[in-house]
Amino acid sequence: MTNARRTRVALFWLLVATLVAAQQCSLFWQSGTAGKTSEQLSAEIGQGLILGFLPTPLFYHVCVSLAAVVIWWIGTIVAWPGDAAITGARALSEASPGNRSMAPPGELAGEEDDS
Amino acid sequence: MTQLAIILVYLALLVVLGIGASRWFRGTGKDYLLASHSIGPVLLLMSLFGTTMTAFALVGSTGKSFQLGIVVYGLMASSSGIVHSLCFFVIGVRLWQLGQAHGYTTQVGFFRDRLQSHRFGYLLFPVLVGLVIPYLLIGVLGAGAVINGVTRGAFEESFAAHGHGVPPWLGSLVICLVVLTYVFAGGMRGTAWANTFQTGVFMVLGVLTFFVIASKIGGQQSLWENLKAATANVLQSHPEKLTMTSSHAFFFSFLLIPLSAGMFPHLFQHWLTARSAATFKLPVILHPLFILIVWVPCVMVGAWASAATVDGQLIFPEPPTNVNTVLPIMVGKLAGPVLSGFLSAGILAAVMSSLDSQFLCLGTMFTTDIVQARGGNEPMDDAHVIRMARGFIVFIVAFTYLLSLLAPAGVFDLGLWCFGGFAGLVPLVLAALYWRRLSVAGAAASVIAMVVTWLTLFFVDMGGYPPNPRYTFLGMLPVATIVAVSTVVLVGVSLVTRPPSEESLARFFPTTGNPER
Repeated sequence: MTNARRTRVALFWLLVATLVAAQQCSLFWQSGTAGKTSEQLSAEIGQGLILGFLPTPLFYHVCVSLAAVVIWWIGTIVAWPGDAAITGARALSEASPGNRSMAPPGELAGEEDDS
Repeated sequence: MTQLAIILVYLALLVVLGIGASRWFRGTGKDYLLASHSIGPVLLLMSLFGTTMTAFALVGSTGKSFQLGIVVYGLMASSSGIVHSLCFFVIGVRLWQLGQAHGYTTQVGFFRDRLQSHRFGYLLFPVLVGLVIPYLLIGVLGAGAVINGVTRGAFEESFAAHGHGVPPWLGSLVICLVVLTYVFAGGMRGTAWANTFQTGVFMVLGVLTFFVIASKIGGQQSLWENLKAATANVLQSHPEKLTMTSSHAFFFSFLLIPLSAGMFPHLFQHWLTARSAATFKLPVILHPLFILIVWVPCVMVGAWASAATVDGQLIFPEPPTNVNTVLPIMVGKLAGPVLSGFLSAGILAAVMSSLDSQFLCLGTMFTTDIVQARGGNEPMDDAHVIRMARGFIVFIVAFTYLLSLLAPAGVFDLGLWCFGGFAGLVPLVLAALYWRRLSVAGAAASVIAMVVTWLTLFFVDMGGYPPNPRYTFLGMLPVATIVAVSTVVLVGVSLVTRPPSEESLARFFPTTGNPER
């Protein structure tokens, strides 16, 4: 892996971490509902409705979902794990005898205790 | 009756689709179980999404939102959009590569090979099956509740105890039989086709459901006015349902629930059907968007339902005893009979698109991990393998169906327990893929620790089935404790026991450095 790719991959995972932090962020949570009357709470929420019907906290999480689409799209470009490892895995598989996953009890290498 | 007729026609269509897929069946076990690794990006996207979006997503989310409000989206949906794609990206692609290289068909096969232990398979197999059963139960309970909810009042003299609708036990039974039929006829190819068809159906009808309900719920003329009026009604009577309030620890613990996708056996099998690693890109990118499209309407409808009226009467003057019926009752009350029938078919499509993968996967696991593994080098013909798979599926489905006849559990609450168990196995798969030091003793101890923690919390601390919706442990969902315990045990025991052989590791970490290490 080149240094440039390593940096891009690291930046991508930093973006993912930021996304998780944003999802956990309590910025739009209602604070102190316990001490408020229903009318006070209602008035407070009513002021924050997006398009007149969508509560702000829900709108915020919709934005988090949309950000996830963009960040995963970036990930498939800059940090896609799909191509590098398969060549090596296949080469090793061809060198190894048969389909090991189907091997009967006791035939797996190093399985002294399983026979 | 109209609703029932439409549902029956839809179910018949599915059976025909399964039989149609069987015409392309190549007659081999590999084609039956893995569709010969021929599934492209769109089909993979739809089948993965259809598989992960269960009754939990539609029936469960609406019912839970009825109880808790819009916080349900933050708890489960936005987190799933991030974490499910993360699982596809970090676990799915890597497992697909290893599956291609070494020919795995099940998780147990992978772990046996990775840990060089045949016995580990016999430990993991019953745990996976044990966790799939409550997952199946979610679908079976959801299907029965949907059919009952939309057919209420359809029978004037019969089924008075069930609101004169189709009893849940009968609806669940019919759905099980239909899914069994098309899975048996079409195998993985039929399941992938049915999944794609059904995912399309439930997404289109799901959005339609939202608009139909939304345009009638507020008693106004235009859709826009209705949306505003519905929210205003909730604002008046239950303003707390339009807020997000939670302790940070409790909210965080929900982030761990979607991790479970990394260890769903049926998802593993779907991953292996992919044509190439690049096939995963589309599901990774669009999965959060699809979750948004399904969950936002469900969560809003659930919150609105708490204050919704028809002809000036509250639809739910009292909270229903079975919250799984909130969505179907809303559909039944606010859509006409024809539309209500179609919408119910859409909801059932979501339920069945998960059940089918789970049924098929159970059969694959049993034949591969138990029958073939015990059979050793004896060759088994494909017809025999498929017969064995079908027998085991019928046994598990019958068992699950009988469980569904017990006291109904909230689909959402049952899901949290089931997914919590699977999430407790995710440290194991991550370690198997990325940590060279994982030992078989560490893996086994981790699985046992997960099971013991799960059982202790469920039966001893909470009191057993049905799950208590208010139960928390240390102020969080039990999943947090389960994941923490299984991780600590996995790392601790692996570090003090014999590491795997270098020869074995070289087959799984080919590009991470010098194989001689």
